[in-house]
Amino acid sequence: MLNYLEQGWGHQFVKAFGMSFSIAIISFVLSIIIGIGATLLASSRIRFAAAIVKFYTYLFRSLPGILLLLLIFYTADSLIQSLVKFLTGTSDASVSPVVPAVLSTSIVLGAYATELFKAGWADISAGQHEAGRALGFTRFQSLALIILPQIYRKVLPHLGSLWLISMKETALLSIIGIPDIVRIASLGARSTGAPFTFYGIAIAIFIAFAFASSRVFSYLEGRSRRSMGAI
Amino acid sequence: MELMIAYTREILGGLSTTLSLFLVSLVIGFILAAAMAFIQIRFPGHISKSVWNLMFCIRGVPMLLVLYIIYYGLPLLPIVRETFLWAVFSSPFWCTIICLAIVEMAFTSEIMRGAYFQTPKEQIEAARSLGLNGFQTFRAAIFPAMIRNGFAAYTTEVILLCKSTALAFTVTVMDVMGFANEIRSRTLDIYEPLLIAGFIYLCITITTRLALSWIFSLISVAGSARAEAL
Amino acid sequence: MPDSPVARSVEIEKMSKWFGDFQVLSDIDLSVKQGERIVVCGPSGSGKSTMIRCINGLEAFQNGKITVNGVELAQKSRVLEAVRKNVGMVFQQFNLFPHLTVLQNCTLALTWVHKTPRAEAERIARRYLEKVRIPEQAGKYPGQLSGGQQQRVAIARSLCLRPSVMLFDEPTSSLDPEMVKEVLDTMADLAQDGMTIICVTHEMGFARRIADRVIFMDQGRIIEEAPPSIFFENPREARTRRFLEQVLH
Ligand SMILES: Nc1ncnc2c1ncn2[C@@H]1O[C@H](COP(=O)(O)OP(=O)(O)OP(=O)(O)O)[C@@H](O)[C@H]1O
Ligand SMILES: [Mg+2]
Repeated sequence: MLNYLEQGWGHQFVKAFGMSFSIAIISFVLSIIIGIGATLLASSRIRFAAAIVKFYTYLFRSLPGILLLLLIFYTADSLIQSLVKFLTGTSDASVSPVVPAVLSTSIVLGAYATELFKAGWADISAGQHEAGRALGFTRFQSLALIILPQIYRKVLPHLGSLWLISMKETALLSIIGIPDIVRIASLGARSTGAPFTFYGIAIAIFIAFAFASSRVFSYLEGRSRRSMGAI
Repeated sequence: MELMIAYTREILGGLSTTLSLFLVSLVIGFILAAAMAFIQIRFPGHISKSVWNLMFCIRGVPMLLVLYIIYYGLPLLPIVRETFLWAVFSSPFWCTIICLAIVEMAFTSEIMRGAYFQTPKEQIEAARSLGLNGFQTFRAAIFPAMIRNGFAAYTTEVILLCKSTALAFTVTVMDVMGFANEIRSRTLDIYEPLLIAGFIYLCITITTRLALSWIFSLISVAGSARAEAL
Repeated sequence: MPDSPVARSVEIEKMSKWFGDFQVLSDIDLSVKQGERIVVCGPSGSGKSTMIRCINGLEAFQNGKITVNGVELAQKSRVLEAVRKNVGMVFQQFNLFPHLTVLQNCTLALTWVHKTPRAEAERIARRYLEKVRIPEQAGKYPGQLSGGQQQRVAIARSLCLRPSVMLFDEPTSSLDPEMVKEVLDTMADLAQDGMTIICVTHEMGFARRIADRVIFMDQGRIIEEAPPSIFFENPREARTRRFLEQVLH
């Protein structure tokens, strides 16, 4: 195993981890933004907004992730390419496939996040909105100061699992050719003929990562419980 | 239009494979999950802790990796290659089933374990004070409570499993996604095959949801009035 | 000896119990004759629930001895199941099985534990549902009944096993005021029939009406034990007097 690492695979894995990790983090953050946005949209007075959000989450919960990723990836890719072409006027401008890749994972994860936030939102009783209104807060203030902190506490445990799903979801990008951990493991396995070593390393990375993440999230949960008191 | 019909016909050729992947791994996964949950509940302490950790690890690994190590890795072991196991592990179809079942086991056993420990203590005491023995208490009080507590999560899990079958094409299984992908690389049409496949998956997941809620209403009669009481 | 052991329904001798380091019950001595009606009262946390839960083995105790109908309690499933056949228990939260109808709740233990044939079990169940005055609810689910009705089903469910002792742990505490009476009346009927009853309750009117003896507990000890006439009119202990002042007004 050590001589594989010496052949440069160690370096490859480090880079791949960086790739997976950054895609996961960006997608995670974007999906949360999508989730909050869609939740606000669903509870707004805009006509059909609630129905559209519902359709989005239902559809995305019902379709295989890899299928959605491929669809969104190719759509986003061609949109971005033509946008760049339009802006720069050159026809050979190329954008890294990482951008549409991140977009596609974000939109897929966004559906999960929307479900979480909608559930959290439904839990915060109408009374809380009214209490905010009664204290003279504007709609935005009561959202930022009263509602969102409570939702944060409600959804935090679920955000932990959303985060793990984000990390795992990046594995699918290897199918599109993004050089993430799984892709590097596959390349290594194929070129050295040692699949156990290479897939084993990849699996170990994910497991270590899952343990580390669960530590971080249980710390965050403990902190939010202490700071808000028990309800 | 003609083309769409031709594609649809071709992709539907993978339907039976997709459904068998789904249903066979669902059953095997459920049995394994029940066994793992049983071990964790029955043997508290080290055994329970290590099984839980193992399940946690499996849940943390992308399914694609589990699939790859089963399909590409295991055949290298002499014990796999030179025994009857080879019949199983040389088939991408069965490798996918094993992978799906293992992942399903890891998630479902946690749902079962959680549902078990959510059983209200009062329900167990009521059963005990009527003189019911351990197994009877399980049947009368714990199992129904587990269904009440765990069924929604289990439904989600089953849908996830159904969606996960779509990864089978990465190890050359020709299921719905496999045929869609084949058309995609042959014709360079991206959207038509994927949308058709998506529609098929949508039908499967909707049917699954309906079937599960029907089963739920069968095993827990008078659902709503009862659920409110709790 | 004044009585043979069989005439004693429940006999608690020098029983003590700890939760970890915390002693919940200290040296409890209580002897209940067959057909006797005991009401247990006392401030919250005094160990009333814990004591009666020890009698049917829902809680284990560390010191002392409990004998129910001549069988000495031990944390062995054979002993516990034997004792529980003779001891019915009704809880504050009813604890009916929500997925079973009223009738099925009542017949469950008859058919499973006592191996009574189904038709016979249903006949018995209907008889006791009649006794608690809700025969018409037999086909409903617990969730469709009011609190008072649910509690009466719970009583019927225990009675079906024809126990020789009934334990009640604050059976009316989680009921709306207008439903308390129907449950207390049901229990008074039982008392009339000569059932041995040990009941934790704060319904002092009920205690006065049916109890042979009232027991006052505080901090895990039995402080006072007297017939209701003496207990309410002329309690011996200052703590009892303070408690009575609080609950009676
Ligand atoms: N499982 C347990 N573990 C630790 N302590 C317990 C447990 N159950 C009860 N206790 C403690 O034992 C004491 C007696 O509890 P118990 O429920 O018997 O009181 P009680 O007299 O029934 O009170 P109440 O009127 O509130 O029902 C209390 O201080 C309680 O906190
Ligand atoms: Mg109590």
